[in-house]
Amino acid sequence: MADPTAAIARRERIVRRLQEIVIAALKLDAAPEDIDPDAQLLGGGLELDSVDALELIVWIEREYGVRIEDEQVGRVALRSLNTLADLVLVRLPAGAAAPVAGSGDAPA
Amino acid sequence: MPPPEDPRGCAPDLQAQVQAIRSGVALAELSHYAVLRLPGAGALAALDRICAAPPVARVGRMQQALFLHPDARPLSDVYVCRDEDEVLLLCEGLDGPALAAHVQAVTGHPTEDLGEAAELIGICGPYAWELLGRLVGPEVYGLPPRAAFQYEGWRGFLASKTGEHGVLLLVPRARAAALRTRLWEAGAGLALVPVGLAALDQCALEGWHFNIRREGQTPGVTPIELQLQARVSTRPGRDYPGAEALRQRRAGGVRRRLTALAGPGPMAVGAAVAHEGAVIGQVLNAGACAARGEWVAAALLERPWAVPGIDGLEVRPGGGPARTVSAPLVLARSLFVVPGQHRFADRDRTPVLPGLPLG
Repeated sequence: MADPTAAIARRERIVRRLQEIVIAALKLDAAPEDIDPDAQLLGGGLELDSVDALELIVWIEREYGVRIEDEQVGRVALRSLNTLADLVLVRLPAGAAAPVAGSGDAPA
Repeated sequence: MPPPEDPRGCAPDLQAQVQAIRSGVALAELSHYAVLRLPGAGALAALDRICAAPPVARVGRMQQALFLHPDARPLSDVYVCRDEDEVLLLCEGLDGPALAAHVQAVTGHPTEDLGEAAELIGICGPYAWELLGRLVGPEVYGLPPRAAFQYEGWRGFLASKTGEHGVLLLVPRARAAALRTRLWEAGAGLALVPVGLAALDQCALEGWHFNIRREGQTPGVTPIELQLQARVSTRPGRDYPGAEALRQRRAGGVRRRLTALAGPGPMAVGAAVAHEGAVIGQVLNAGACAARGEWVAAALLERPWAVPGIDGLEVRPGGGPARTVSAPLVLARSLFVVPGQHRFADRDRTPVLPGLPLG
């Protein structure tokens, strides 16, 4: 049975960075740990709207090179930070290091 | 009423009810809700003394809120529905008289229990909008999320805890029978199914919606562990029952977190979750999921295990292997059903994203 430690650490790094991205992109007055990984991003717990969703999609593409190419994929991926992380983990090239949390500033 | 859940699997009629919620239109009697009325323009301000997050709902809109115990455990899961000269609360977790007394005691604002005066009926499913449109008219398709409206002496609230589209209808008790008749007449051809609380609870679990009657009943569990931080505020100066306990819990960091599990099951509430023999958590809510062909659960797991994608877990006793997965456990068909554009009659031709467990 594979040791899950590395997988856990990689997931945590990505979720942490996504928490930072949500805060920076949407100018939220919150700490990263205040944003639950399973909190509904759109129309739910965080009350983000379609404009916020577009902002997040731009960020995700710049940060990870992962494109959310159509609306249906976006609806699923933007359900929560964990579902966004799922998409990033699937689309990142094998062996590619995920950016480290806190390593980037808001894009212009 | 559906029979009790079969722990060896989904009872046939429970499965049929869940299927109706997930792929059609279902009607539910929501007598377990408490409905409260706070009259007067100062009602919303009064609720600031009890809501875990500031009540900011605009007139004609709803906000999902939490009331807490002093130790920060959830007391009631609340929809705050603001009108011009009153606020309605649609609440789960306590009965009407007890909750009305509690709200009045904490806020100092007159609070009326509408349990005898009104009934709450739920319409849920991806084609709930179609039934509502037949009842009220196509103008409802333009309503924004969490909208509240009035129609012919009853009120509608766009809300759902199943993951699918939904609307709650609050009707004076004297008119409830007539409204039910109209609903069934309007629902001709939509294969309406009456559903019970067990089906709603299973869909809430699958849709990863907080259920105060299930995972909300666990001692020592606060909105922080339940991943409900978006519904609480611990900013300095905010005072409500549970605020100080929540601040202290938050200062200690997130040590456990509600996490989605899946496996062949069966999984029992209270069962331990283990990794290589060491207990790492506990099942708080579980059910057989027909859409996935396996059991699903909401488990309180210690960090760092509380992340999706972990294999090799075990549910004890007798639950077999399990793995953590991302929520929601079932993708809502409602994500792909646009009100006014997609109809029940054409449901087999509605494009949905392939390859995912879809209700």
